[in-house]
Amino acid sequence: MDAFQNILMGFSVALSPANLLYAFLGSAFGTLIGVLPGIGPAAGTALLIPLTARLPPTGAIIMLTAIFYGTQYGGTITSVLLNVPGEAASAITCIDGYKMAKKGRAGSALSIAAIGSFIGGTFATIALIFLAGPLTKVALEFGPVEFFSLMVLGLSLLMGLAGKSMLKALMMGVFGLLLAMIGMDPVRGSPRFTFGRMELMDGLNFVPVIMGLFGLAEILENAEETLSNTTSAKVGSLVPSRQEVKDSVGPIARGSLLGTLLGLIPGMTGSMASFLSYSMEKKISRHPERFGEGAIEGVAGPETANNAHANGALIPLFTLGIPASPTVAVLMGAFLMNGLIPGPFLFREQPQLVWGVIASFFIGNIMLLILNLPLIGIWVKMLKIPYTILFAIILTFMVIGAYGVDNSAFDVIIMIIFGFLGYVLKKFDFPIAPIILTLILGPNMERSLRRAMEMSQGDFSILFASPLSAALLIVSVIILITSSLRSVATSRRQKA
Amino acid sequence: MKSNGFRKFVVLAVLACLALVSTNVGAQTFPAKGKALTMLVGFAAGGSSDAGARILAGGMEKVLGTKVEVVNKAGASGQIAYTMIAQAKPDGYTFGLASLPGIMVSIMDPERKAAYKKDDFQPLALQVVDAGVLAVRADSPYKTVKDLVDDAKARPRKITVSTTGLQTGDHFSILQLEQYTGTKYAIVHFDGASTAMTALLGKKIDAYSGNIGDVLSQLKSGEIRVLGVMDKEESPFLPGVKTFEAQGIPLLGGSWRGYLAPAGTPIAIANILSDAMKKALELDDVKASMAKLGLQIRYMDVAGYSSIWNQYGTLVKDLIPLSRQ
Amino acid sequence: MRKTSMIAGALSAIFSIIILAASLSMEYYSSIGPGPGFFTFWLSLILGLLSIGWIFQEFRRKPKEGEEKKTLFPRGKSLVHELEILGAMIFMALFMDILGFQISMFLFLVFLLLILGKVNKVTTLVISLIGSVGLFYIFTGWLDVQLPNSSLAFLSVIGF
Repeated sequence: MDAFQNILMGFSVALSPANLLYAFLGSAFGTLIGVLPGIGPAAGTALLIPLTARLPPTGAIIMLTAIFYGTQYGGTITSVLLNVPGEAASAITCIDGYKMAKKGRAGSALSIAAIGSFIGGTFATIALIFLAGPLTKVALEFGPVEFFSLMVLGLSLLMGLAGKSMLKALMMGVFGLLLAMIGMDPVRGSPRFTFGRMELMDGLNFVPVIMGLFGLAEILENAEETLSNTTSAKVGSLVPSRQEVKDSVGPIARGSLLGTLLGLIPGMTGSMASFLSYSMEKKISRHPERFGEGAIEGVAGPETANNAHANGALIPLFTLGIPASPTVAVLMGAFLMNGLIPGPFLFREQPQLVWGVIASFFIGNIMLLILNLPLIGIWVKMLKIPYTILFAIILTFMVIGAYGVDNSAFDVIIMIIFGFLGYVLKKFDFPIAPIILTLILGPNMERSLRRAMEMSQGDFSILFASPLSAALLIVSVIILITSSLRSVATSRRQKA
Repeated sequence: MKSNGFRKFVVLAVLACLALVSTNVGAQTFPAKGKALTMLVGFAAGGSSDAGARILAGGMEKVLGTKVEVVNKAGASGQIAYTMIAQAKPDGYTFGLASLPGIMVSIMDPERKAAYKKDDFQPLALQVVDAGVLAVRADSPYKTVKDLVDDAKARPRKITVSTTGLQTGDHFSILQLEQYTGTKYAIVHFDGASTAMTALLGKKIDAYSGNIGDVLSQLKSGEIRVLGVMDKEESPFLPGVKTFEAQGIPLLGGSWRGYLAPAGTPIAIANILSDAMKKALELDDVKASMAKLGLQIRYMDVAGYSSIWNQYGTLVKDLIPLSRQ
Repeated sequence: MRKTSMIAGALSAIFSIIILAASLSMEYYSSIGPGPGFFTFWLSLILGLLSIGWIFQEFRRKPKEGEEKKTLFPRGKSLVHELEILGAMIFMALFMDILGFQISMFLFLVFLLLILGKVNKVTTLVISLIGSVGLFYIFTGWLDVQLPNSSLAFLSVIGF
């Protein structure tokens, strides 16, 4: 049976009224979970598993996977409208998305994000159908050594996030790396910089940190004027302009590819995918200075990558039986609870189920688009709430969101600390994005290096032994050199 | 206007009664109708530890007729949840999952700076023995444990073996293997089964140390071969796989998952909880769900689990300094 | 702002030195690779050098127009607003577990809406009730997200 026949069979399964309903419910729940603070995609998927226990296996899996990639849509909404990331991977969208909202382009940002997400998700699903085998082989090429080099490449893109002052960007990057060191170290497993607090043993929780740096800092800044003077973001046209659409094509295409590839690699998170997409878009762009001021590319790329990653992460589950991220691990638990062991043999044993679920990914992505586009009008109306009330609502959701990550008030304190810090940093004109990039990539980088050393028992040449790793490292060096030259040239030009 | 003073009195009296009511819990009526039990799980929702706990919680609800709420407090390899269990009120309404050797290591290794000691807990019951396994790729030259050990003797510290984390049960299993056979491996610590398994399949490491539940999928698809299982008996989930003992190495390893209450919980209540767990594990749907996840039920009551709990320290004592090399 | 920046730079440098000192007490190099103290040492060193660089940069550049009048923190009412927001958040963090979510969130919202937002009493009451009791039941009842009950027995018994 070739792929086309399988897919047709799959559609016949997925288009049954019951399965369509499950796909719809899953998509709706997923979006809701993405919008709501305090529930990340993993927790949200987990808590709905018992509900699906009474459904037939195919329906249950359809619904759960729909929830999974649906959460990516929801997270965008609060990032754009309120500068509060709905979940980790949407954090980068705050930077340009919120700026766009302030300029009255919120509807545009959300629409492009929805369309990009749809294209990204569909692309990843097509990749799953036709290229599952070769793509999986690519994913397997990434061991600790290649991972480390990939992280180095990601960090080298940091230079591109610099903006006006390279010095300040570097300081933020280094600071972020130091923050990444908090927790149990990968070498000894002893606590490092935890001040005796158990909650820090696993490192800083990412969501409270970004909620503070973005959301709370923003509110503190607004508090400088009387709150009734602050206008909520303006409600402009809901439809993107032709220029915006044109500008989004490239980022969406690249985001789809990047997101799918990164989703394949176990250990690569959606946040990494969206951040790397942002950094890449800024590096490639002819007008990098637009980033941070409301560039549509800064929304289109990451949001597409985000969704492509979520769908791409499902590939290893089907081809290798390995969950590529914690949320997919929850999904895998659902498979097991339904008596199904995910893996390549499932294609032979239960072709109807497997292809039905895959076909439902297409349907789910379409449903999400249909669900979310009209809703944009409603979400954007939320901006009409007077800021004197809105700010309190935002703070409430931030408290719940920070608390809900680990059921701990400590995370609320972290959020407050970083809120204050973000506020001060803005005053001194420090860019926030580098902290986040290094905070995301840092822990993994150190851990991967440690593993590489364990593999080679201390021999650094292992980093160059693999051609893939060597290539990544060389590209990193090239990027670093060209970025430095460019910034030196720019500052010379400024002085002249 | 005299009603002001009277009103105050009534309010105080009502509050006093409520306070009394809330602190009055007797073993005769445990668990009180409508009062929920809290099961603390120090691992992320959806993982195999959490899944096993939730299955049990569901079974206990049926047996006891009260709600059993699973509360996840993941972090620091379970240490955060363990601290909460130790510090909870010892009235039987709060208890939690404990994974050996993990929890014992956190107690005995001073670098972990645990806020609890062995005697801060009242053991309730053992639920699962998830035996350790050693696996290699299907195309690997190693067909038995002996093949691997012989090669390790010839090339010390060259064979890479993965674990799912520093100081986990899998790590200790390999340390014990090194001790018993006089061999040395390049031990590589990942964080969890999926990254480690990916590395195995991607030919980045030579052998995989983990639990039965980790390898079921890849075994079924024929991508890996399990060299041995670290238990007294062969596992029903791994047909044809010999124990390490049968292959000449008396190695027992894996995760032993049970439940603890804070010390000071009355024995009568502990027994009620333990008995409820036993009955839950005998329910058909609980047995079926555990089997689907590859979790082998092994129940021990308060006395049985307590003796394991008290002796486990000696088993891992020597391995802790080794694990820090 | 230049002076303030230089002070901030100095603080940053001091921070780096503290981290550096802490790194020295950690293992620099283990038997097979960088130890826990390795990266923290070099990173704090780099941060310290960059901080000093920042101080110099601020010292040598010419002040922009009107810049000398700007202060780091606003004065007067704006400062009060900011402190009120931070204070309210800290209140939540500290008291959410003691008073329980519902009571503390209710007080939180009343404070923010009435005092800061200057919203009328009726709207405040409605939103505060929905935001505290309402959200509590939505999250814990439907969505299975755990929000704290009070740790004071007499409050938790009556449902708070």
